[in-house]
Amino acid sequence: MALAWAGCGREQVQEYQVARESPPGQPPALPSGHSDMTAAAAPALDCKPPSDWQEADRGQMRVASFRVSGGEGQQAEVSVIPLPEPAGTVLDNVNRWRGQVGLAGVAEAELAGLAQPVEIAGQAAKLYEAVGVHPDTGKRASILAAMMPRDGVVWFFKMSGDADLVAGQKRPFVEFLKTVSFPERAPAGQPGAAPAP
Amino acid sequence: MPPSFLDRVVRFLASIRLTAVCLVLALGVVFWGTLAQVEMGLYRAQHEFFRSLFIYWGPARAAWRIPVFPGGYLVGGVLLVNLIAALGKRFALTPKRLGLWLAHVGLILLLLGQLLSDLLSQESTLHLREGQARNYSEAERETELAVVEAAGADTDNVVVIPQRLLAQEKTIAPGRLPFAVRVRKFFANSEVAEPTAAAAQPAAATQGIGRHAIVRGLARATAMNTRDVPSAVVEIETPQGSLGTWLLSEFIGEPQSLVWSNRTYQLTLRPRRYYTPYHVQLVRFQHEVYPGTDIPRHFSSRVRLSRADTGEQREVLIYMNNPLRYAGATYYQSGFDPDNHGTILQVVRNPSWLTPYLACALVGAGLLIQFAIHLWGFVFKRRTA
Repeated sequence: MALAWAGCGREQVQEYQVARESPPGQPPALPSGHSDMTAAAAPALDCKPPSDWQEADRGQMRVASFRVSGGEGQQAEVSVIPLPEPAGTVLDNVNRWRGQVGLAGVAEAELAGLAQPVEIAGQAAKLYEAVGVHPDTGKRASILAAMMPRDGVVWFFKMSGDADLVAGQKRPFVEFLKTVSFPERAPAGQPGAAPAP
Repeated sequence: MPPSFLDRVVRFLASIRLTAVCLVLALGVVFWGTLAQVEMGLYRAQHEFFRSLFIYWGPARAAWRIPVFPGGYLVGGVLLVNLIAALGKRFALTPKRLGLWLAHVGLILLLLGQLLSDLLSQESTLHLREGQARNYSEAERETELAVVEAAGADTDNVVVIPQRLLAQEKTIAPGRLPFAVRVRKFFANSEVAEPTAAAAQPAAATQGIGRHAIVRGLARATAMNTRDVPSAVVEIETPQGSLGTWLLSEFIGEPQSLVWSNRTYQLTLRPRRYYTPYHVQLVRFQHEVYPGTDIPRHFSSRVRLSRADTGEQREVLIYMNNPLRYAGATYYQSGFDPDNHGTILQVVRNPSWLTPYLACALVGAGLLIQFAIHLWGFVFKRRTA
């Protein structure tokens, strides 16, 4: 009985009171002598998109969003989405992107062969390209995507759309990734919101 | 006079033949379960082969499965009964049999200890960035739905619904909440995506982020380096009617707000939390590699332990093979962030961690005593001959 209770007791609804956790970047009760070295509170980034990309509605998940138009009504979109870690492994995400253009998943061993080196915010990163057929529209579709973990957040940079247009936009997309920068965090003891003396 | 039915049952339970059958079956379970890890991954194989009464089999894609082999719990349970019965029936505690008796008690303790470990132990991880302090660790392979309401300037009331209840997809009405949570759909593994214009799938929920997202169920992650991303679509039901549906997912992470009767609640699906009465803060993470290579030579976490109720404050260095043991928990260095400014500690709580040591000591002492008794008898006989 005692064993059964021990095993099942953990599977009930629990109610308790806890000290509120400080938002990321503001750890609670830091002892004196230790500086705050955690990440900035809200994920944010700066970037310079090519002039022919049009800014699009960012919705709730994106911090940057662009629409790209090509000849014959071709469309593509670019999104930048930060998600808290772990947000899936690289393999999970690559296979998810491949599934979105009707391609079969790959094994871990094949990942290295698919990765193309790029630079994001001055750091080396990997770009993955998937070209296939969109399962819903039946049109040739393509995805260029890269992910970069930083300060507990995984940043997803993705271009998706008609295959020919995305192929033509690959170089601008790679150049766009180079322009990405992350705002500097406020030094310890000088929070960004503090008014000037 | 023929033996009674009870005598025959006890004799069967105490028989050495039953022991042999159990050991052979245990071999089979271990062999099959080890092979199955290739396909299923460690955690599912552990659950289906070792933490079960029966091993089930069914054709691929079929909805039915039949038991085809005894599972770890059944084999271990029968072996435990067999040992206890044998101890009572065949090894009465006499000076001549003290060694055998101790060895059997040790084996019983070993099996019981393993069962206790299985039921009571917790494994979780503590991910800290440099400077960050936390008073909880998280179980990566379990999720929970947390409904959080501010209770004061710096405290929260939290109501937590564990994964097992979520998976039953029923209505849950915790006493502290003025509404019920109806789990309309639970995905043990899933992906959340933005809806595309071409996709016909409707938005996952009517409120919060789910209005702009779709959710799809995925097969359970089986590899050691992957994990499930659970999601749930829940409906909030008040006495005055439904407030709508919310998509909650570990993929989203951020809490979503719900306002009812001028009170604000935060809904979130998060890894299961185990709170502690103390904080662990990462002071510094150090990662050294062999010169000219990326091969790790040494990595360590300097953490500060702070306990408000006792005033305890001390720094501890955790590195490979040098865990922190504190208040029934053991913190092992497990991993680190790619930028070398964060650490991942594995936190293990096992209240019965001593039982294997005690059991092995008893078995060892028992065998030694039994050997000594036989040796003494042999030497004594030779002298008197």
